[in-house]
Amino acid sequence: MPQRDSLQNTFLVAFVLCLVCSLVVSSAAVVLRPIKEKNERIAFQREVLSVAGLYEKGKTKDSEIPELYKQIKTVMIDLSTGEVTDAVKDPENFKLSDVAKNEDLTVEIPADKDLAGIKRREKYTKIYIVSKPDGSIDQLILPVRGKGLWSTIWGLLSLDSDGKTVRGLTFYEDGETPGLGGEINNPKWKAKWSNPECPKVLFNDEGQVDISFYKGVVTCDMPDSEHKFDALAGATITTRGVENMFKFWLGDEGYGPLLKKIREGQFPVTKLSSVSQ
Amino acid sequence: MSQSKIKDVLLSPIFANNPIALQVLGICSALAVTSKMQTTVTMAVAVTLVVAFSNAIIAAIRNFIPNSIRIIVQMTVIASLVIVVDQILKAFLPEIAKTLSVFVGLIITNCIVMGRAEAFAMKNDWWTSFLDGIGNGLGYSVLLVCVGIVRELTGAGQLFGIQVLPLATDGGWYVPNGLMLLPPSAFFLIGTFIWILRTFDPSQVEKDS
Repeated sequence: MPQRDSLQNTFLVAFVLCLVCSLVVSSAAVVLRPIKEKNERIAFQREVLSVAGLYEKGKTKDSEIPELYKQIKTVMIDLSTGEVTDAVKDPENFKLSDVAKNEDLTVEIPADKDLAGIKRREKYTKIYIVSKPDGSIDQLILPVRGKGLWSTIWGLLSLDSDGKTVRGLTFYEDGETPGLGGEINNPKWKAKWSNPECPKVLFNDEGQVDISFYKGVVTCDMPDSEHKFDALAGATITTRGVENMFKFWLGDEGYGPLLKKIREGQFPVTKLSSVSQ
Repeated sequence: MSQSKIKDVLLSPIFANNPIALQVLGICSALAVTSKMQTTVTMAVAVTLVVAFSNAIIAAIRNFIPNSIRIIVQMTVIASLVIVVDQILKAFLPEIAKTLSVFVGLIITNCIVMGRAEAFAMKNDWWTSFLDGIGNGLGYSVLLVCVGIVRELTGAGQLFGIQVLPLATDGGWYVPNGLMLLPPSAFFLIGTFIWILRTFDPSQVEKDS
């Protein structure tokens, strides 16, 4: 064996060490990947269920999630027309975070319309539907995202079958400042969006997006309170990000065409029965 | 190796030579993860495992490590272990892993791990080094758990997420002190811990220079 501090030995030790360490690290990653993917899937299903009001934190067990999730139907939508589409080959494994990065599956948003600051949007997306026992739509759950202060905020918005009343809201991924912008995930703040006694409506009677954020507490008896939302104290840019995110996704570049159809009662509800879970 | 040395290596870092209180290492994570007991304990276990195994591995190969790259070799071993621990946490405790976020990855930069590798594992056999790692991990854990208990109890009236003190907002009597959930409170608590420790063991007090 060469001298410990010799040049050859230094290279040899460095090489062997790197080889062994990389083998250990990569095999750990490979072995654990299926478990992590299952966790991610369940975590996302939990978000969908919680925005639909079907998951109660602390009460619903993780093991119940797959069973509860069977109530959720999914359907692929062509965003530009708002029509149901079968252009996506494998809707089961449609993963928005991957699709959003793929140039072939997204289109560029004109700069003047890119309120959410995301540059590209998907051509087709998956929306989630909770149906009533008689098969008609109860809630529509739409994935939304947009730039906050530090990060892209990913969320889910649940709308009533009228296509304009908020039923629930959640943000499942963000990198905003904890305690300030991070408060978008505060359950108390989110609950204000879906208070049945004080419903929030995202469109006005003319079908235009009508939301504004208000500094201070929005009470139910305020004029126009259904279009007003509590801005987060100390998080001006995050709040503006959320506002722009909604304006974008409810507008023509986002779910506008789909929601217009729904408000006019044109969404093909009958087709739902043929769509997979 | 004599029994007394094993005991000494394992137990002295807990109070007599506590890595946080006396050597003031690993403060960053002690501030960040101690607002809840669940994350505190997970972090304590993760750090203990990483120190113990990195110590053992580095001690086992210490006679082969060329002097010129020894720090890089130590870092590589530590970093690999940390990534494995991070992966395991993400797979089996996804919720906790999400709250710990970057702090598991930052175990790599925790000075306790590096410090023990350089100061102890490079000079001792693998078994003693392993025990030294466990001992220092326990020293870190004891302090973290003490801080964690006080912070979660006074800050949220909870322990391990279970309500212990009924909160005033829910009709109880306890008004939580929000400051305790913020990182500065860990500074005060660590300071208090060091003060108590040095009151009982004056030999830890630094001499006036």
